[in-house]
Amino acid sequence: MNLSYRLEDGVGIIRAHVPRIDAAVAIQFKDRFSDLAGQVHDGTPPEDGAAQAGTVLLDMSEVEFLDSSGLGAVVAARKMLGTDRTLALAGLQPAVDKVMRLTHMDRVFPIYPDAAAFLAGQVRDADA
Amino acid sequence: MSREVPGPGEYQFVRHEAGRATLHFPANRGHVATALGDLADHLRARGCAPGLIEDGAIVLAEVLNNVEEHAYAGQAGEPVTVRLDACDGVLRYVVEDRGRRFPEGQLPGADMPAGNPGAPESLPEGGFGWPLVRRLTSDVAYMRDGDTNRLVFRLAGRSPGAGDRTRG
Repeated sequence: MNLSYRLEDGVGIIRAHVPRIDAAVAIQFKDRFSDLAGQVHDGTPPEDGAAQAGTVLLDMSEVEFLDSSGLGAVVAARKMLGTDRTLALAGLQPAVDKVMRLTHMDRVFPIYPDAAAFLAGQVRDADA
Repeated sequence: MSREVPGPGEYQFVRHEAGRATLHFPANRGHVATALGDLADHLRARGCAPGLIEDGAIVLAEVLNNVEEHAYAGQAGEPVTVRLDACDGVLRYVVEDRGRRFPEGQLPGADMPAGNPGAPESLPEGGFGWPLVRRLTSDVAYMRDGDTNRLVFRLAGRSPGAGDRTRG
């Protein structure tokens, strides 16, 4: 599961470099996300900063398709962040967006058109 | 007329005339994504609306995952057949397998699982599949015919909240 992590303006951005998050890869997604988000089992955060950021953004702009198993994996990823942090989503392609809305997950995840829109909102919040 | 499910074999995708297509593939060998892609290509070539093609893929993904995970309980190599009939903005699917029947011969319900958005630990990680199928199909019927499960469902163009969206 090719997920990459970068820290931008203090926000951890995880980007999924895969065309599908589905039943075939849901477990790999969760495992890899867990590594990147610093949810290590002994509770020690990693040194690269992801665990300190209040919001983690999952950039899904390369993901064309999400099934219910993939959706469950994204929800599991949200839970890994606990109540102190939030998981936001960006770059939902039409079929992914549809699944999020039909399952009412648009009430759970803040959704942004793309990572730039998300970061612009963060900067505004910080300036306010 | 006999509509036997063929025995286990290789992945096979056949286009017929008038928008019909048939897929045969062995379960749990990683063919679902290919199947969805081939059928979407077929529908695009037929000029179907992008939203309807998406809906068809979402529904069929859930149905095929259900066959692989529940009817066949993860067992590899068992036969799955999909027949698709596409015409005038309506998609009609028949999916057949020889696995376990639905519990008590009934399809699962339509209630979308819900949690409290403010309490992440309460959020459901599963149970979305059948409600998605119910939301996106106009009718679904299930029959047990000998040792074969047969699911027949139809999508009629306009999905809730997605209808005539144009793509940018």
